[in-house]
Amino acid sequence: MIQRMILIVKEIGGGAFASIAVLLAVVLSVFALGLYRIIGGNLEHYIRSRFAASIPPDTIKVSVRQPRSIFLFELGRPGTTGISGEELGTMRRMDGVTGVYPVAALDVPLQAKVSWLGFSYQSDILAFGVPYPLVRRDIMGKEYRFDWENPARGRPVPVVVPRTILRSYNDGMAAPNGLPRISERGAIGFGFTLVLGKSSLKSIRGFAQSGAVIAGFTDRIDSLALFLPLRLVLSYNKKFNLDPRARYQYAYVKVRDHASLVRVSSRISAMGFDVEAATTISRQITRLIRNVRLVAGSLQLVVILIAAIAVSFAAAIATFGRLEYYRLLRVIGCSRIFLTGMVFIKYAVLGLAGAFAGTELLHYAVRRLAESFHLAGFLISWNLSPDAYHAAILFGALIPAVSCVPALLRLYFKDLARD
Amino acid sequence: MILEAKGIVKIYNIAGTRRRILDGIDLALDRGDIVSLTGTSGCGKTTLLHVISGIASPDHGSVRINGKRMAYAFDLLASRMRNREIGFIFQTFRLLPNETVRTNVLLPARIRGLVDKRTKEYAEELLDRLKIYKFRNTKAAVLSGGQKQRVAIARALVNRPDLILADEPTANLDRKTAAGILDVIFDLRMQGKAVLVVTHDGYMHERSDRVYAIEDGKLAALS
Repeated sequence: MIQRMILIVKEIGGGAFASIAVLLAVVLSVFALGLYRIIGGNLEHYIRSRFAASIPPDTIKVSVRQPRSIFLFELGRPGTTGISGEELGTMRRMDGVTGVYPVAALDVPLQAKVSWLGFSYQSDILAFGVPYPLVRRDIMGKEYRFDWENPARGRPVPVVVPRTILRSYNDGMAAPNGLPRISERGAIGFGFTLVLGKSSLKSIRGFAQSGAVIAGFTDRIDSLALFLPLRLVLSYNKKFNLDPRARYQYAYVKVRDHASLVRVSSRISAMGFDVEAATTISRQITRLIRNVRLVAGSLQLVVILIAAIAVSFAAAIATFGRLEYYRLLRVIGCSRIFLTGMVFIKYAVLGLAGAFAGTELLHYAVRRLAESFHLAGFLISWNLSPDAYHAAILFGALIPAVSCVPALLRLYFKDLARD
Repeated sequence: MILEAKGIVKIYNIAGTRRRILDGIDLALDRGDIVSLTGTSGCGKTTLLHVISGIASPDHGSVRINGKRMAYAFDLLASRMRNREIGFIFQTFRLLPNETVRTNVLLPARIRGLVDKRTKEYAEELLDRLKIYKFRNTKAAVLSGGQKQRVAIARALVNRPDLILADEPTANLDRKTAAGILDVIFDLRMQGKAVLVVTHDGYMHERSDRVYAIEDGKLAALS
């Protein structure tokens, strides 16, 4: 056994020039292929992270489909009276959806009373209940955030005001009525009273008053209504309405990426809802990413093909160059099994060594590239997946080993001994 | 009986026609026999050596070496038999030029998996007997033709085979060197080996026990 191991070790070192050629072919192939894959992956990541992510929307606004109208009035009621909890669940389970945030309208009359420096003003208003994650970044202050998630009796209700209302007041109402302009920062923490169940047109028995405070401003939801904690709105709707089931007027569906936006939009639309999303931009971005992937993939395929051919040729030529030696071994008693195994081991070892060296060289090159290559946010990083890495090692070993088969077949079946 | 070949038939397809290169050849060699084989180029001399050694399989017939039948269908067995029972000497020596004389000689033993102290001593004894001991650590590439053939003979003998097959062992050598090599081959008789030599050398024919020629695939005794 030891003598045979010696023969195998000698074979690995035999034909040094051809062996080095095979080794270099594998090293360069793995390097070139890996580099293409890494740059392609980085380019795609760049488009995703910089380009696609900087162009929202990653949000779909879902609303109840509006019925047809004649003159001032709508014909009949909307297709549904709102979005149900089950329908929200269906949306949540869709592939690519990262969050579903329902918005419920307050179904009872509502008034706001403002008293400030002896001046008193009251107005009928609209309100929506929105979940905390949708306005989290707009709420200024920890206590308001806490109150939004945990509304409690006796505590002023935190209210988020759409910037559209503030701008409308400052630009259209303040000056004509001799009122001061209001700044965002100054308005935070401003207290007023909400009258729930009463408006200038209607009053419900058992209406209630509650203190409220401006907790922030938002542009995230385009509306002329105030935004209140969802849980509070749902509890008031339940208190004043007969229908115990929670129904939502809107839902904001967050998606993972632009491709998901296009796909999820059409699925929600198929559920019978109106969908608002900038799918045109998303389609273009998705197409761009697909094209980049296609070009990178095609180039990779070409590189794989060239690399495989180069490695195969190198291994085949190296094997043909050793045929005289193999022929001698056969004649003096070496079996086909041992000879084939020996040659396979030789090229598998060379391939493995080459693949490892190629990936190490790639690691080094990527590090150097990352240090020296700076192009407007395009960063090169090692993004080779473990699967791709293992495939490089496996095929780096397999291709040269398999490529020696034609030469061995020729040896076994064509011209074993010549003299 | 060391070699017993019976009814060997080998057919080749040459340019679309089936040609019986060997057509029912019977050949037997006993211990100490030295048999010469001659014939025109392409008559089938080397093919007969290949069939005897198991490199090529016959279409009909059988070969027995030391009573053991050559198992053509089982490469592992045929290879083992070739390694242990047969020693090969080639016209072009077929040494490993970048390896030393000692490594070349020990190659069949390495394939056998047996390079122990006894084998090494035997290899050195062979080199000594063949008068090339002083070159044991020299690379084969730098040896003369005669020295190379002596190394090849030592390699053929290292596994102590009983049958030696030599394919024109002196064709590439000058007359004087060739005579020296033939002397070495005839010395094998003393060691009890059976030798089958393909040769056109008249001196070899004179000293052989029997001389055969292959004509139209058949074996014809010349002396």
